Amino acid sequence: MLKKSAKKNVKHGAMLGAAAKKRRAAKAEARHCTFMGIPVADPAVRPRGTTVKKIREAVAAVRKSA
Amino acid sequence: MARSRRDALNVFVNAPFDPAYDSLLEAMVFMIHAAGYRARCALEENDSGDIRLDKLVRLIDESPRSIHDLSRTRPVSPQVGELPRFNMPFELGLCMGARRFSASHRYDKIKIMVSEPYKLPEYLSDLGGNDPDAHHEDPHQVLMIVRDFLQSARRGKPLPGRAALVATFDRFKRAIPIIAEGIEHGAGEIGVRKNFPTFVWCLTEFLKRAED
Repeated sequence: MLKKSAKKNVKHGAMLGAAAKKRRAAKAEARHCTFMGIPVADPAVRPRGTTVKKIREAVAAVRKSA
Repeated sequence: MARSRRDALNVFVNAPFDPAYDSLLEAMVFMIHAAGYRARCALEENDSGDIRLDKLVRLIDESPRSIHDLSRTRPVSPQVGELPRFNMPFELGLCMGARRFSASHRYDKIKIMVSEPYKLPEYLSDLGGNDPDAHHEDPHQVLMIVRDFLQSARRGKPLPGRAALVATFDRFKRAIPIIAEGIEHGAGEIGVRKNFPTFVWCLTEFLKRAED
């Protein structure tokens, strides 16, 4: 049985499960994935000959040097 | 037949895949993604087992919007022995047919582009009543035509103005060889026609960080 204060925390989302935490992080990231306020849709197929992570790093390096 | 993965954000691109058209195709794909939509075209998959017509039908089925450039349907010198390209009008016909005969495609939106105005009825008189947009082989004009066609982003968000779009597009063009080197590719290896999936990922990641 949870204490009254713990119940309150659950209600307000303080005690989140791993999946909920992940979902929240993804939502927060999605807010930044915009171009002039417009959400940018991910392409339909995965990149060829590299990974999305590597592309992200390369783009970040270009933006930093600009 | 596989279940359709129709998505409101998909835009089917029916354009020529030749080196002289690269800059116009880049502009088209750039604008689609900058507006929050997703460019779909035959270049995205490299499966020889997939019959080309089946692939096109699947892409058209999954895309409620389509853009067709008929600018390469033009006479070729008889000495060269080449015939004009009919792929683009054929694919436009598929989209028109889907809209006319399929209830689920009734509200699909179609944009037709040409190189010069008032020429289309000369070689495709059945489309005499349609008003295609002329891009005059100018990539910035293609940006504006696609922008006006898409009108707004998701949930009616207004799209950026011409100056911002042109500036970001030019910056992306300058950045792409550097991004290619960053992912261990040659400067000319990542292009809209050469490696479409990687090119589009570079574009979307660039757009997400364009304001940094």
